[in-house]
Amino acid sequence: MTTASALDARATPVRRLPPVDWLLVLSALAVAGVVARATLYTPADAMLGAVQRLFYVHVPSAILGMYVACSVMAIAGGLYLWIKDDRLDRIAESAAEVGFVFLTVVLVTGSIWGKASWGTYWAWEPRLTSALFLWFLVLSYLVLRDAIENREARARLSAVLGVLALLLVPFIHMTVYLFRGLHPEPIVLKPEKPAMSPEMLSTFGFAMLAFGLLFFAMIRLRYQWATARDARAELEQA
Amino acid sequence: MRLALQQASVTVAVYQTQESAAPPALESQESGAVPPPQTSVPAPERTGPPDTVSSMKTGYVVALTIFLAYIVLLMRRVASVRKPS
Repeated sequence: MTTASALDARATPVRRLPPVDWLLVLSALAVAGVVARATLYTPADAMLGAVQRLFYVHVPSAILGMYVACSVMAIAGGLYLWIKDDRLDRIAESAAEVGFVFLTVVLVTGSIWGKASWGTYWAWEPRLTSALFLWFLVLSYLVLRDAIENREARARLSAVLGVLALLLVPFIHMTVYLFRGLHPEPIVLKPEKPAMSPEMLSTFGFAMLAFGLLFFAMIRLRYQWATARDARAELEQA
Repeated sequence: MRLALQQASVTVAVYQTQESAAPPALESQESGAVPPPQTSVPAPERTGPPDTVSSMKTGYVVALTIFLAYIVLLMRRVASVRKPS
C-alpha cells in the first residue's frame, strides 16, 4: 500500500462521520414522546403522587447505565485483554462514558424522587451508597484513560478497572434484599410479573425502547468519534 | 424554716404566672363579651396522593438537560475532528 493510499484509508473514518446523525435525532424524538406520554397521559401513583412518574426515566437509565453499559464496558475490556483489538477498547470507552451519563441521571432523578418521598435528597443507605460508589468507579475509569498517554497501557489498565467495576453490579442489585434500607425492591427486574397497571407498564415499555435507542445512538456516535480521533492521531504522527 | 420560705415563694411565683397568663380569658368571661370569631379554618384531612408535580417537573428537566448537554458535547467533538488541521 502506498503512503497516499494508506493516508486515505486512515482518513476514511473522519469522512464517514455523517453531517446529521439521524439515529440520534430519532431517539431524541422518541424520548420526547415518552416524556409527554409519561407526564400527561400516564396515571400518577396513588401513594406517591406525580413524582412517581420519574420512574420512566430513573429505571430505564439505571438498567441501561448500570447493567448494560457496565457489562459492555467489562466484556469489551476483557476481550481486549485477550485479542488486543483497538475496536474493543473504543467500544469499552464509549460504553463507559455513555454509561456515566446515564448513571448521573439515575443519581439525580433518584435524589429528587427521594426528597419528595423520603423527605431527604440523600441517605447513606446500601443501595444509594453502592450506586454512588459505582458512579465514582466509572468516573475513575474515564479519568484513568485521560491520564495515560500510551495507548496500549491505557487500554490495558482501563480494561482491568472496567472488569472490576462490573463485579459491583450484582452486589448493587442485591443490596435491597441483603440490607434494610430506604430504597424499595425492584419492580421490573425480578422473577415475578412487574407490579404495575397496564398503562404504567406500557409507558415503561416505551420508555425502555426510547432510552435504549438513545443509549445505542450515543454509543454509536461516541464510537465513530473515537475511531475518527484515533485515525486522525495516526495520520498526524505519520 | 428556709425550706418553707422557698416553697412559699415558689407557690406564689406559680400563682402569679397563672394569673398573668389567664387574665384575658377571665376578663372576657366576666364581662360577658363574645369571643372573636374563629378566623383560621382547620386544615382538611388530606385525601389522595401528595402534590409532587414540581418535583416531577424538576426531575425531568434536570435529566433531559444532562442528556442534551452530553449530545452537545458529542456534536462539538465530532465537529472538531472534522475540522482540517
